[in-house]
Amino acid sequence: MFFHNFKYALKSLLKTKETIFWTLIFPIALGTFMYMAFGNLMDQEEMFHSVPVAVVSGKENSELETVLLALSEGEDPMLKVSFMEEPDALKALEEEQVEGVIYTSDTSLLVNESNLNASMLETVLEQYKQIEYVCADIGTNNPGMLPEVVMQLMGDQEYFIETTTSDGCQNEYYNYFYAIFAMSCLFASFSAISRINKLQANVSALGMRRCLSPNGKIVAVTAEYLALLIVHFIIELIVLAYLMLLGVDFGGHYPAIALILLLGCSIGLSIGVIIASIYKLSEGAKMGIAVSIGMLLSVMADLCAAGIKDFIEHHVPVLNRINPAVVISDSFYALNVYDDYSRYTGNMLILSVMAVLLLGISIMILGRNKYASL
Amino acid sequence: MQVFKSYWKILNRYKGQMIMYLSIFMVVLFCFIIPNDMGEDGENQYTSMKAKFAVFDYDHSAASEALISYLEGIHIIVELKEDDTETIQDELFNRNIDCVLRIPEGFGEKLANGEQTGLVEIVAIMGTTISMLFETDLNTYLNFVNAYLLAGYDSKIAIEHTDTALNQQVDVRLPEQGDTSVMGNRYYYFNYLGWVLICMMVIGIAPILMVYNKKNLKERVHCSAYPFSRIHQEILLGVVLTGIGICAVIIAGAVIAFQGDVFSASGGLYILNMFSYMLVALGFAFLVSNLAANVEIVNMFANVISLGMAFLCGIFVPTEVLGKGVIAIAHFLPAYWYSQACGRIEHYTNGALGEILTCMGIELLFAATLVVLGMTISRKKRVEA
Repeated sequence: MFFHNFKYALKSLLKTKETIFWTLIFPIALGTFMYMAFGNLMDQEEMFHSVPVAVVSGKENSELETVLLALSEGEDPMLKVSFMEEPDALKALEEEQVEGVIYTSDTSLLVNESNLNASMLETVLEQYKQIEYVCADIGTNNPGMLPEVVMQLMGDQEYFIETTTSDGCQNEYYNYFYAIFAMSCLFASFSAISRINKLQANVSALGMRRCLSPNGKIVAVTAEYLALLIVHFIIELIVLAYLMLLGVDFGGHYPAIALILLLGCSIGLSIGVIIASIYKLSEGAKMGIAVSIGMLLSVMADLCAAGIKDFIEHHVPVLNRINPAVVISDSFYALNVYDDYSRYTGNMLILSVMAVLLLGISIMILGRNKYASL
Repeated sequence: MQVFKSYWKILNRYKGQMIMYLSIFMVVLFCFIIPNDMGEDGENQYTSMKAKFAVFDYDHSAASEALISYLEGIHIIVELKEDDTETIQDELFNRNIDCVLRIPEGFGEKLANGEQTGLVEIVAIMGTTISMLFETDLNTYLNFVNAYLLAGYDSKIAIEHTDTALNQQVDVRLPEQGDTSVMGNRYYYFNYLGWVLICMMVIGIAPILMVYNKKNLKERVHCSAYPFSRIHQEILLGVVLTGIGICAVIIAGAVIAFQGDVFSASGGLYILNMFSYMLVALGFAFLVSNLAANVEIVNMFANVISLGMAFLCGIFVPTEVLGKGVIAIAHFLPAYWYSQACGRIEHYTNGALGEILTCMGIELLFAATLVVLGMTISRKKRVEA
């Protein structure tokens, strides 16, 4: 009997277009749009690339030109210098071919906007002027030491050691992709509502017929739940594979990611079962509740705007621990950036407790349904 | 006006979702987008970029305090409670800090002894421009102190001379028209409508039009004494009034948020642009009402169209950072022209009206195309039926 129920639940689920859309097509579409928009944003906006700059030569400042040329040499140079006449330089700036125009005559800079590249150019020029000042200062007070000082000032010694906290993906925009999975898992509640409604005698005609059959309720519910879990888990794996092919770097650890998705789906389904068991509401109203809960929890996990999850973390951290969407998103993050599994394991523990608790509640509610008359 | 009255009754059923999207728009905008905006302050004068850094000073020497004081003057210091990897990683990932400066015990002594390597530790996301800026400033400072020490100055004097040397600045100018990349809050308010108007109007209007398209209802209405043209006029009137009503609410929101800024030439252009785009949104609603079989499918269309255009057309992400391929695709989408018009209106000066009106004209052409497309599908369905 279990397999009969399971088979028909599976068949019926695969024919529900809405379920497939919200849990498969919509996340894929959203992921594609996000990847097209954010995919290279970190590289373009945050990572350092040689700064193209136009230099308008002044006759009396060849030292600055030498410094600028030195900075544009090598394998990964700081600057890409082009010497131009002023009208050409201004045209290049207007057409955004260069980030700025350096006037060597008065060591000044013209830029289109206040941004990181402009600040980099400003720093180069400032450093030049400051070194000039230091040399003049020491030259006046202690000229004997000047050659040694100049040698040191022009050297490339680094007084600091740079370290990093992770070799994983530090792209802040990846929170959006993590939140897509959180949303998709929670949207599994839609199909749970639709399937459970077909089990409830006071909601649907099919429910009445099924209640009258000798088929045990626990068997029917278990078969439905298992079919739902398998379908949604496979859907999540398809979304994962698609995003990976698109180029989103989840940092490996795929069995661990699969576990997040399995627990996430289980939580989404249990939420759906609980919503479906609210007696007096129509299917539309139940779906409305599921959409609102799914969206609200996912928005809190940075689905729509970055920074919400972090804001909550700094002000009411407990909310982030009990929001399954945030825990799912955080588990992806933990796997991607941390070498050890301690944070991930903590998150898995929270998700497991949530899944078991919600499943327990939903089984309890459904098991107690008895109808005196239909 | 029976059809007109019935229109409002049906709209009443779908108003909840429209209000929900309008509320999401207002909350996201006023709580998360606008508070993080640079505003107009940076528009006319150049401002250097500043790194947000946390510092853990385990030396507490005069030299370490002088270094922190210098860096604090040109960058932004952020307090971080614990010096542990997880806290630092989370803060770096969320961009609450750009780097952490760790000054080890013995730093002052090593500096005074002329040591040149490994004096301090910087924790950062490798290769970012902002961390490079910070590191360059730090390196320059230590290099200058070292140079003065080498020249025979004592530590205190070396630090004083370094501070004076670092006051040498360069003149950085912006073009006459200022920094056109800086957008004010008004821009974000109107630009985000490119997403929410489509979503709201498709979800709110398409189901109503679908009701009038139902075969049985349509036939009942058509065999009544009510003239065919009047039915369409009344539905159209209802749709247009809904559009105007929504626009009025949005204008009221803008007046509350930006006060006098709305009653200016650029404010007027923003409103005109919004009305043009409202026609596009209504065009989409009409098209979707002829394509979708039920309300769930309307929801799917609304979300995919509105979010898709928002991501690809410069609403959620500025066009400057989108790839060339994405921008090429965006030219075929109305939200791109809406967003372009918003960008131009934000820096509107007399005489630059041509480009703005061209964008609005293209929006109107899109609206007309959507209506024609909708009518063609509707006609085809009617013939097939």
